[in-house]
Amino acid sequence: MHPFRDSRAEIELLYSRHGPALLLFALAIAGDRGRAQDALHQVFLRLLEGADLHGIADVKSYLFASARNAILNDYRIQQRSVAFDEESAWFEPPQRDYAAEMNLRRSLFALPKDQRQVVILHVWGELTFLQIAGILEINSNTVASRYRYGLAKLREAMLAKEDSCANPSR
Amino acid sequence: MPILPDDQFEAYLRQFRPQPPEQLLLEMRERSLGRLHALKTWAAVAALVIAALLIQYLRARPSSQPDDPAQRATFAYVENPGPLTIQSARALLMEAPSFDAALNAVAISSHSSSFSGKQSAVNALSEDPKL
Repeated sequence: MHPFRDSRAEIELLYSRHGPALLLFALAIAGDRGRAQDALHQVFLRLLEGADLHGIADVKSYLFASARNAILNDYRIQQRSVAFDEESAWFEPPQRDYAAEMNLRRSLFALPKDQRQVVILHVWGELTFLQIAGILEINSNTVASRYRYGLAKLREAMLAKEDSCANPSR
Repeated sequence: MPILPDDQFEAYLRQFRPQPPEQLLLEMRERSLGRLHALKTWAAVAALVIAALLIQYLRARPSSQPDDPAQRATFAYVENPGPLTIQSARALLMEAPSFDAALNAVAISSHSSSFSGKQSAVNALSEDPKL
């Protein structure tokens, strides 16, 4: 049987299972939905072209690392600063609370890029600090530290924005 | 949003589900791979047909000149035999790779051209009513 057909179901399963978190992670780096989506497609199409998933110990970490590499290989993204896109939602909010979604998105976007990546990988990617350390090629203690600072800043930023929305005169 | 400890804040954040990506274009990819495969097959078939036609054409084409250089000089003389003079004999000996080849050329030439349009002496004498 053709290798494409062999791996297709497996790749589709991986895409549906990890696609949302991968896209969010790609968005956190690229800042642009189009580029993030392109990078994600690039990773999965490369898998279809014959990457052997059976030889990879941690497929989930491999996918996140591949998505990161695909984006960072794009020289233009490395060089430019990305503007916050208010129109493009990153999340499906609970109880259709779109104001909270924008608040979270703005607060995430305000984080330093390193902290933003770690927070997203741990909270929505559900990766351990050790896995994140492997993906970002840094020490796991650094990951833990970035996460702690990132989470604290995120909470502060979300509370501050909520506060400013509730009391616009302040 | 209330001030939550870390684990509860994490749980709150997880309530926001990341948006799903666009559909992976597997069907399109499969079709394009299929088209590429068909294109490669057709290209291979076309190349084979062209090669076969070329071989057939080269085989069918009459060769105007012998490939062997040893035969080329004798061939030239046989093509334009003319009378065997000292000059033509010298030219033939110069061009022919060997004495044998030159001698063969003269023999072929005389055999193929000397009787064309002529009658043998035996026939002429047999038809003479005086004899």
